[in-house]
Order: sequence, then C-alpha cells, then structure tokens
Amino acid sequence: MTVKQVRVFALVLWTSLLTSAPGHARTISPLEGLEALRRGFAGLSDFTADITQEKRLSLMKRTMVMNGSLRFKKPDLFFMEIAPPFSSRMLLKDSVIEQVSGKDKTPNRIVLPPEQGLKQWFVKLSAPITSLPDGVDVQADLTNAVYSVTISPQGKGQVKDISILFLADGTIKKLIINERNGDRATMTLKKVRRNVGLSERDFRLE
Amino acid sequence: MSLKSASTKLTSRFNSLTRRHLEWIFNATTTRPRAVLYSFFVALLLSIAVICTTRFDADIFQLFPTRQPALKLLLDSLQWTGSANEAYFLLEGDREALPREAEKFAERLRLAQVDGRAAFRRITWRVFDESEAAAFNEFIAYAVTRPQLFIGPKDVPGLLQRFSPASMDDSLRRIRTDLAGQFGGAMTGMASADPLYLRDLILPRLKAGSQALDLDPASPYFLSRDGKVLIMIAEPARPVQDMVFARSLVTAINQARQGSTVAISCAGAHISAVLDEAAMKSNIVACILSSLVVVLAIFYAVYRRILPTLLLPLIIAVGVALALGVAGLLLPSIHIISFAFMALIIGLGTDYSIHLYDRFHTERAAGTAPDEALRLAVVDTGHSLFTAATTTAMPFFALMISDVRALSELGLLVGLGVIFSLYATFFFLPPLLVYMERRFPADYRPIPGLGMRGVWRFAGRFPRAVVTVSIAAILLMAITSTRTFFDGELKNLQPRHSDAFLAQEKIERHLSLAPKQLLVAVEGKELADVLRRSARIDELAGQWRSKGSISSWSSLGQIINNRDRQIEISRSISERNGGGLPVAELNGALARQGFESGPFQAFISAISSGSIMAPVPEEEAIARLKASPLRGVADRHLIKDASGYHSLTFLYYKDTGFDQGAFLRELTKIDPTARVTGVDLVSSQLAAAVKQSFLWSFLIGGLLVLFLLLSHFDSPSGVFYAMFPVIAGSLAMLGIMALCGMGLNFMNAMVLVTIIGMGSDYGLHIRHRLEVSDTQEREGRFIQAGRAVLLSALTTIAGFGSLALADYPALASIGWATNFGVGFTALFALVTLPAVIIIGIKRNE
Repeated sequence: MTVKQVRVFALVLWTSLLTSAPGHARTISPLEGLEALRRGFAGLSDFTADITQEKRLSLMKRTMVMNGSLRFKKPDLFFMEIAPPFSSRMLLKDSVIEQVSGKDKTPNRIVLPPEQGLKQWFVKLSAPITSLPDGVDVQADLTNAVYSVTISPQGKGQVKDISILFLADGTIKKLIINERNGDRATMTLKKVRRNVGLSERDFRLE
Repeated sequence: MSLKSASTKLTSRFNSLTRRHLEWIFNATTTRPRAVLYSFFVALLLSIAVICTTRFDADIFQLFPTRQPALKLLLDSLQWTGSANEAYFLLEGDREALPREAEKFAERLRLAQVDGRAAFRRITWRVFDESEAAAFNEFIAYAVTRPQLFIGPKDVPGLLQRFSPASMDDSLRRIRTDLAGQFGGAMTGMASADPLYLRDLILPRLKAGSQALDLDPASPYFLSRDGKVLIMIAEPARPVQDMVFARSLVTAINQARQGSTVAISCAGAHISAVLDEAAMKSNIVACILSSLVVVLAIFYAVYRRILPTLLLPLIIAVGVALALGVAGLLLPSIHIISFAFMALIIGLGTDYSIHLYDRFHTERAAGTAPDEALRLAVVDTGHSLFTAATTTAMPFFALMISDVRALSELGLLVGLGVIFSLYATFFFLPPLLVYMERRFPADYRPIPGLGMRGVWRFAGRFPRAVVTVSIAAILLMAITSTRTFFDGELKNLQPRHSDAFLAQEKIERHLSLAPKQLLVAVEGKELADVLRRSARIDELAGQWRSKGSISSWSSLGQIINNRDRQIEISRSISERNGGGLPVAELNGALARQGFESGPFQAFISAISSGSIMAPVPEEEAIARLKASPLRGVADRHLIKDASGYHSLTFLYYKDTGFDQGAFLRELTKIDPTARVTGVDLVSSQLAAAVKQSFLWSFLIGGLLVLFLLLSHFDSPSGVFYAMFPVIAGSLAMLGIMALCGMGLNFMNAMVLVTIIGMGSDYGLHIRHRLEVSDTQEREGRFIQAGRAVLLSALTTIAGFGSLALADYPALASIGWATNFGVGFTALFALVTLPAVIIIGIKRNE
C-alpha cells in the first residue's frame, strides 16, 4: 500500500461515511470497525463538502491551516480544491492523479499502479468484510460514542498510520494521517451534501 | 596441336566418357535393378539420419553476412540494449480507452505463464513508476547539488537566477502551496532535496535525451502524439533463441489479447521469429504441395501413364533428401528459407523424367523395340540431360562462394538437388519402364505435339520475320532493362501480412521520431576517452541538426556533461557570480517563509562545500543514473561489456535532406574508429555483398556452363544455340520487371544465375535433337524435343514460379522473376531458335 493510495482511500472512506453510516455505541473489533466503514458506502453515489486541513510538517515551523472543498463520485472520481493562499486543485481518476498548484497551468500527473486505483477499493468494499485486508494492521475502538479505526500499512512506507474518527450517527470527527518522519495532517469536513447528482463535468481541473 | 583440334579432342573425350557412364547406367538399371534400388535405399536412410541431426534456423538475420560492419553493429546494438529480447505491444483505440485496456492487458501479461513460470520478467507501459519515488528523490538530491553535470551552458543564467533572494522566496512559497495541496507530507522529501526547483532545469534535458519514441509529453503512458497508439514493452523470460519457449510465448500472448476492446498487435524478436517461421513454413509448404499437384497433373495430362506420374514424387523426394543429407554433412545448420529449394527441385527434377520418358514413349510409338527405345532414352537423350543437369547445377554451386548465407546455402542445395534428381531419374525410371513393359504392356500412341508442329512450320515459313521480330523485341527489352533497379530494402522481403511486420509499420507511423535512424558507436577501454570522443560526435550531430539535415539526435553527452563541459559550466557560474552560488541566502528565505532550516541543510551544505565547482567523475555520474529510475537513459546510450565501453549516438533523419555519405566522411575525419549502422547502411552494404557474390557466381557459373557446352557440342554454333535463349530470356526478364516496377533484390537476383544454367538446357535439347539432315525427321525431332522443353518450362513455372503466389515477398519475388525468365527463355528457344536454325540450314543448302 503506498502513501498516496492510502491517503486517498482513507479520505474517500471518511467523507463517504459522514454522509451515510449509522452509529452504534458499543465496543467493536477491528473487523467490525471496517464493516461499519463499508456499510457507510451503501446508498452513496456522490457527495460534496467543505474542508479544513491542518498540517504539522517537519519542514514548517508552524502548523499550516488551509480551507477548501472536495467532491466525490462513485466509483473512481475525486476532486479537491484548496483556497488561497495555498490555492491548488487535485483530480484523481481511478489511478491517475493530476494536480495544478499556484499559478501553474500544466498539471502534474502521477500514475498509481492499477491495483491501487480507487475503483479497485470500491470493488473490494462491495461485499461484507469478513477478514482483515492484506498488508495492513487495523485497530478499532469505541470511546464515548466515537468510533476510531486506525489503519497501519505494513512495511517501510512513508505513512505510519491513518485514523478515522466518527460518531455513532455517522458523523466523521477527524481524519488523521501520521507519517514516520513525525508529520501529521488532520482534515475536517463541513457542509456535507450527499447524492447531489454530480456528473463527470464536475471533475475537471480547468 | 591447334586449339581447334585440342578442343575437338576434349569434346570427343568428354562425350565418350559421358556415353560410357550412361551405358553403364543403362546396363545397371536394366540388368541389376534390385541392386540399384537397394543402394539408393541405403543412401536414403543415411541421408534421413543426417537430416534428423541437422539444426534448422529461422532467424532472418542469420541469412546475411554478420561480418558486414553495419549489420554486425546493428546486431551488437540489439543485444546490448536488450531490444533483441524485447516484445512490443501496440494498442490501438481512442485516447480514453487505451490506458484502461492497457492496464487490463498488462495484468493478463503479468499472469501469463509458460511451463508454469511467468512468461515475462518485466512489463513497462507507464513513463513513471510510483514505486521508484524514493530512488527518484535520491537521484534529484544528487543531481541538484551537481548541476554542472546535467545542465547545458545556456541554462547557467537560469540557475543563477534561482539563487536570487526574490526567487528563493518564490520557490519556497511554491513549496508551501504544493505541500498544502497534498494529503499529508508526501512531497516533503523532494522539497527538502530541491527547495529551489533546480530539477526544472535538469529533468527536461534528461527526458529529451531518454526519448527513443515520439510520445505525447502530457501523457503518463507511452502514448503516441496523435493519441491513437499506446506501446507496451515487455521482456520475455527467456531469450529468442529458445524457439520452443517463443512458440509458447506467442500462444500466451494470443490468449492475453483475447477479450480486449482495442486492437492489440505485437512485434519483437520472439514474435517475429515464431510468426516469420510460421509464415515461411506455410508459404513454402503451400507452394511445394500446389506445385507438386500441378506438375503431376501436367505430366499425366500429356503422357497418360499413371506409374511414371507416381514415380515423379519419389524421384523428387529422393533428390531432396539426398541433397539435404549431403548439405547437412557440409553445413553446420540449414536455414528454413532454404527449403524453398524444394519447389525448384520439383520444377527442375521433373524435367529429366519428362525428357527421358518423352523420348522412350516417342520411340515406342514409332515402333522401336523396348530395349532399344530405353537405350536411346538413357544414352542419347540422357547425354543432353547430363549436360543440361550439370549446366544447371554448376551456376548454383558457383553461388556457394557468396558471403550471403541465403545464396550460398540455396546454391549448394539446388546444385545437389539437381544432380541427385538427375541420378534418381536415371536409376528409377528405366527399371520402372522395363517393369511396365513386362507387367502392363501398352499400346504406345503418338503423344500430342502441344502445338510444336505449328510452331516449326510457322518458323519454317517466316524464318526471317520471326528472327527480325525477336531481335526487335530483345532490343526493346534490353533498352528497358537499363531501368532495372536494386531494391535493397530488407523490410520489403518480410511477410506483409504478419503481425510483427504490421506492428513494426505502426510503430514507424505513429511513434518514430523520424523515419530513419543512424547509430554511431564510439568504443574503447577508458570511459573518459570514449565520452570525450562521443562529445565530438555530438558536436558534429549538432552542426547537422542546425543546418536541418537531421531531425534530432540523442546521446549520453546530451544528458550528462563530460569533464570538459562540466569545468566550462563551473567556470561560467564562477565568473558570472564572482565565486560559488550564494546558497547561504537560503537560510534567510527559509526563515522568512516559515520553514525550519534543518531539513534543508544537506542541500545547503552540499552547495556551500563547492560541489558545484568540481567536475564529477563520469563513472560516478553513470552509476548514479543507473541506480535511478532514469537508468534506461544510461542503458540506451552507454554499454559496458568485456571488450570495453560502447557509447551510442542515435541520429534521426528524414528520407530527404540527409547525405549519408557526406556525414560518414565527416565522421571518419573526427573519429576513424567509430562504427556506424542503420537500415539504409545495412541494406547498401548487403546489396554490395550480394552484387559482388552474383558477379562472381555469374562469371564462374557462366564459364563452367560455357566449358560444359563446348564439351558437349562439336562446334561453337552449338554453344550459340544453347546460350541465345538464355541471353534473350534474361534481357526480357529484366525488361519486363522494370516495366512492372519490380526490382532485383537479395533473393530474386539468384534467378539470373538459375536462368543461365536452366535456360541453356532448352537450346541444348533443341540443338541436340536437330542434328540430322532429313527435313521430315527434323520436324518430328523438333516436335519431340520442343514438347519436352515446353513441358519442362511449364513444370518449372508450376514449381518454382508458384512461389510468386507466396505472401512472403522474398519468395514471391523469386517466383515472379522465374516466371518471366523461364517463360521468355522457353519462348525464344521454341520460336526464335527454330527460325535461326532453319535460316542456317537454308543458307548451307
């Protein structure tokens, strides 16, 4: 599992759950936590949301705070826009990431391996989860009505773990990405609108 | 002793020996047929044993002399760069569908297995593989602290500008934006390694230098600029020489292609080897079978005897088997394309049976006793057959001196096949005829003249008109033949409808940087010396590029700078900036833009330590490139093997505007040891080799034929009668080919040699049979000999000429040349020659 893929997948899961997953106040196993995440996708075709992201990076003296918005459409379209002063746009089409930053007009393009494409993950989540996925450790708990599912990729990748925090009623509290170099990013969603009928035209960089 | 008497004595001696030999054959076959057959059977078994242990090749490159410098370098370069072992897949469709289908196809190829193991070691279809991100960051960290190694002199101002305080602030703001736009800190490694985006100066040059194909720069895939073709490159698990693996690989590829919504074609050595082999085999087998059927049908239609007809395939099979057996003893291996000789043997080998049986049948129909009819057929007609076979075989044997394996091998096989077919006819047909006389006595009716009576009488009535028209036609064809050209394009010899050929054409149409490519190799033991010499090639290429003679070029020198260029760039930086680069200013900019300075200290320290001012050893630079995801750039342009370093420069040019000769002359001036190759160069060198081979074969074969004819005939006029149809037929063949836009090539040029040997037979048989004074008898003899010559020509056309219908252009070109050559030679032998003879007789009377 690679850095970008884990991040993209976790973000999509988290934001999708916000729109649909029912909450249950009880102790859960890792498998139950993942199954709760999976169920959150049922009935979801797309959504939009505003975001606030906080990044604590080893390169920066202070925490960076940025606002923006994102859109998602099943099975493989994801778009995120960051507002000034860090203006940038990012589009993920299955396994191809295109990004435009600042004044640049030519997109930077990165191709993920096919097996890490967004669509592959939704295929995996189409059936009930009966075993933990390969290549990751999963931890889940339920504390004071907040679910917490933490996914830790095995190996020596840059990402140490990704935690998704959500309430029993399906409201996502936080998405936290911890990296091995100590960097940490937290994203919060607001004004979530689900199944608004997004089309492919809403997923363009220009 | 005068020359004439010596010649007469030689002729007499030669003819006497031949007659004694033929008498012996007659006696042996009629008195001890079982012993003869047993002897042949033993020889046949031995030949089959040799054939079973003979290695048969299918690689088309093995047909040509690898000591030709251009071809040798071409084969070396294919081996060095791994291209010889790669498979190429072309996916054709719309821009949106191609990546999706490529993913699926790549996955199927990954899963493809041969003998329980992965069929491919590596499959590449994306420009950048994310799994190599760490190695890429490491390389960038190295490259940006040694820009003198990677940037061009014109980039020095841009480099200095990046170290100005304002530019530093801009770069750091850009980093903040990039970091904000990512999930987490994915690009922190790259940002700390290259905070000033110096990679923007380095990567375009690396990318340009690495490009071997004309790709869409905006696509992450190997996609053509028109977006219609996506190329995938895969490395099969085993080398191309393993034909069993190659066949299984092609099967696996065909399975992987099934179900795709886009068209997928493939090229590469494995695919070509299997498909070319299959195309060659099917073409040759189809030609052999069809020609055999036609030849047997012609024979039966004329003579109406089933046993002699059925004997023909046996004679041909024995002739072919003995030829292959002897060739297997003499040659280390035999190329599969040489099996085309079987078609020729079908045509030629049948001739002897036709002449022998025709004479026997004619004599029997005239009331001659069986023994005498057979003796006349074997000894008298056999005499001209003996000379005819040797005059046919000798020019082919003369081809053995050729450097070109395709010609030398074919020469040996055809020469042997002709001789063995003759002896198989001599030893098999007489016992069969004796057996038929005893077991199935038949009423021998006169054989149809096939229009030969009309031809003889027409030539007798209008001899001067026939000769005049013939001479006019020959002159016209001779003039037209001056437009004959040599088609040296190897591509034109490949099977036109094979997948590999079509895929190669698509690569050239959609993905080639330019239609033509020239490769220059500079070699030596010391890397520094090789790179210094390569730099001079770069200068030369640059001059040719600036005057528009070449489209572009790529070399290691365009990607990394040699020591001299590095010193020049370092000096330029120092002079413009009054010393090293002001990297210390970066600390202030980092503080201003809210960055920690710690993560950037490796960059700052490297620049501060003067890494930019000292030349980097070439070995180190290349080792770094090879350890990075850009290793393909180094692998393509610099090879190290046991013989030393080979620096390769690729020049791309169009059909017009590039004077190859002038470039080679300039190249020789600056580096006399540099080797050069390219398709044009390979073709021209091969063409020269083939022309030389043919010239010598033509001369040697011609002299041998002349000697044999002089030995056969008492007078020079006999030689004229034998050679006139050949010369006229050859001119007509070249003339018609020129009119049809067909050129001579590496393969069909051999037909000229064939015509010398084979065509002289026609005139020889006519002249041999017309040596009588009685006019009435002369007509009957012409009908008999003319009919046999006509049938011989028809069976040769049905045999060898049937190759014209082959999909394999190399074989088809032989077929067409044969059809024209044999057809015209027969025409001049059967129509013009009688007129000439009749004019001669009337003059003597």
